[in-house]
Amino acid sequence: MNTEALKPETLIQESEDDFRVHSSIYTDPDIFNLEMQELFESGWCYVAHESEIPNAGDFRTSAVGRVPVIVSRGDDAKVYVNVNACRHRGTVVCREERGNTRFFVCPYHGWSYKRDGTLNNITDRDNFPKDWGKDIKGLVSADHVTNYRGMIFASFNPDVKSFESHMGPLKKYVDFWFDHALDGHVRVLKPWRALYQGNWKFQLENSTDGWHARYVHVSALKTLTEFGEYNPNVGWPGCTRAFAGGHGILERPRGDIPPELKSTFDNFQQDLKDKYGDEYAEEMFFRRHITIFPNIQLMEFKLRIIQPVAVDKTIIYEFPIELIGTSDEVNTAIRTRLFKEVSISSGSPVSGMVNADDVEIYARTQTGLSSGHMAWLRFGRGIHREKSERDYEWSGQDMDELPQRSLYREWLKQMT
Amino acid sequence: MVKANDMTILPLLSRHEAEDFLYKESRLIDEDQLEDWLKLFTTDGIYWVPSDESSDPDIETSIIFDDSRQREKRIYQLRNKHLAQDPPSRTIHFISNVEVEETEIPTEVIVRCNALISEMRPGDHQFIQQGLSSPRTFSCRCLYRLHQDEDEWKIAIKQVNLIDRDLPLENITFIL
Repeated sequence: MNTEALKPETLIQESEDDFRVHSSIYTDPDIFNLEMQELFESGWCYVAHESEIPNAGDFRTSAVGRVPVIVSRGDDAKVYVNVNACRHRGTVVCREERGNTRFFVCPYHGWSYKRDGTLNNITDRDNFPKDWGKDIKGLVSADHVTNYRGMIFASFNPDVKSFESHMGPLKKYVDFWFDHALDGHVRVLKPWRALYQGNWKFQLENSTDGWHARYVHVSALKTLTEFGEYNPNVGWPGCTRAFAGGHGILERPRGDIPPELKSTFDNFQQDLKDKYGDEYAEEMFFRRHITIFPNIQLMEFKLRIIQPVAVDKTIIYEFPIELIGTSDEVNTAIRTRLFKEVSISSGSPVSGMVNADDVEIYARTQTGLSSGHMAWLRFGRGIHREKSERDYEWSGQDMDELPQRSLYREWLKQMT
Repeated sequence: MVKANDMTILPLLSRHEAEDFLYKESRLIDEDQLEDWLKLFTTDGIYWVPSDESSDPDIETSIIFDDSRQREKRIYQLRNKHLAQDPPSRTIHFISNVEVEETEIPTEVIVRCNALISEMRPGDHQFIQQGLSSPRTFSCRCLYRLHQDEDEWKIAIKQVNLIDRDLPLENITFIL
């Protein structure tokens, strides 16, 4: 690929009072390929949650950008991330989405690998020169694997910066999210799976976009109001936050708890106050949509993974969570909110009353940009009032396009 | 002379009657008479589209798991500019392989059938808009539990097992 010709540095233009993103970053396959290398393979990419593979031999297949990987639990209880391709001729070794195994065996010529991906056996050894293949230690493994509060991240960059510095001050808010579980850990449930015909960054931008809801979700809000499950007088309080590293937050108070769940949520917050103290429990108890650049979003009691397939095709996985150590009453209430779509922040992107309208917009935007004649997308809302909170953290009003600017500032940094 | 227990051979609902019921339901959906479609269900009836038919929909995710309130909300939103249904889907249902099975409950039967649903959202005469003017086919294995309420049969459970239910799917905001 000729990255010279792409010139990603020309595709984001920022001035004092304007912020422009070039449409080719949503439509150009070469840009997409470069994104997969620079943002996904060379950065920290979420690949699985530890609760999906609790026991030795448990595995799930996943991807780092477009690199298919096996995430597995070894006999030593550690988590391993390996490229899902046999070292012999490159055949995909494991096709199942998840399972448990003693060995990963290639179906082509029978080469096998242990649970941690190291080589177990090359078949027909007698027919090779004596020391042939000594260099083959196992499947190609990720250069770095880390686990933060159960989220497993991998990198194929030997020189990747530390995960801690990638997170920066976002850590405080990620901890808030996980601390909703009284044991500090969550378990992910079976995911919703959705596909849309649009670029992956539309979903990345959208979850921290506090502006679109009053337009895109008019029909959902009208329906919920009609059925007494949403109070339009709540208005749109809250704020946006942005962080170095491309991360962002849309933060709103939990003003939309339906009346029948109110007492459960009051008890829930009291439990958190008892555990963490009033101040911490007040500060953590917000509905925060947290984007961890580039492919994970911590939503209201669900974890969303963005999986790019092609420049104009994206898969979304949404895993509802169970809060470990938290009462059954609270977990049941959360599930009810998610599964019955009481909450305006929930619902499957395939058939739900909220997210299905978001993915409709992504496809519609992909169409709008495909001609190439709509050159520049404009992300100017609130650019004149970005407020520095502390080192590497900024805040804005709830509908400002601050988190979107933040992710494209990081995009520019990593792509050039 | 007919022996008493031979009477039980007569099914509660014949295949012919079951087909009539399914055709009527299909017609109500395909002709956009969704308010009448709602009336086909019992008050505690369930419309279930699982991603894993062996899962427990109360504690695991489903593509759709609607009780009567959810169904009413769904139809209300369809009537109020649901973007994912603007323009709305046109559907044509084809029903086949109908089988009727009795249950332990004298007023209930299981009806199994296959459904092939052709779907399209019109509105793009230029063929450039993603998701519009592009017919899709949904292959389903369906299971109905029908409940006899006086003289009327109603749907206690409508379960639709899509052939690709465990894959990432696109826009099923219309009624299957």
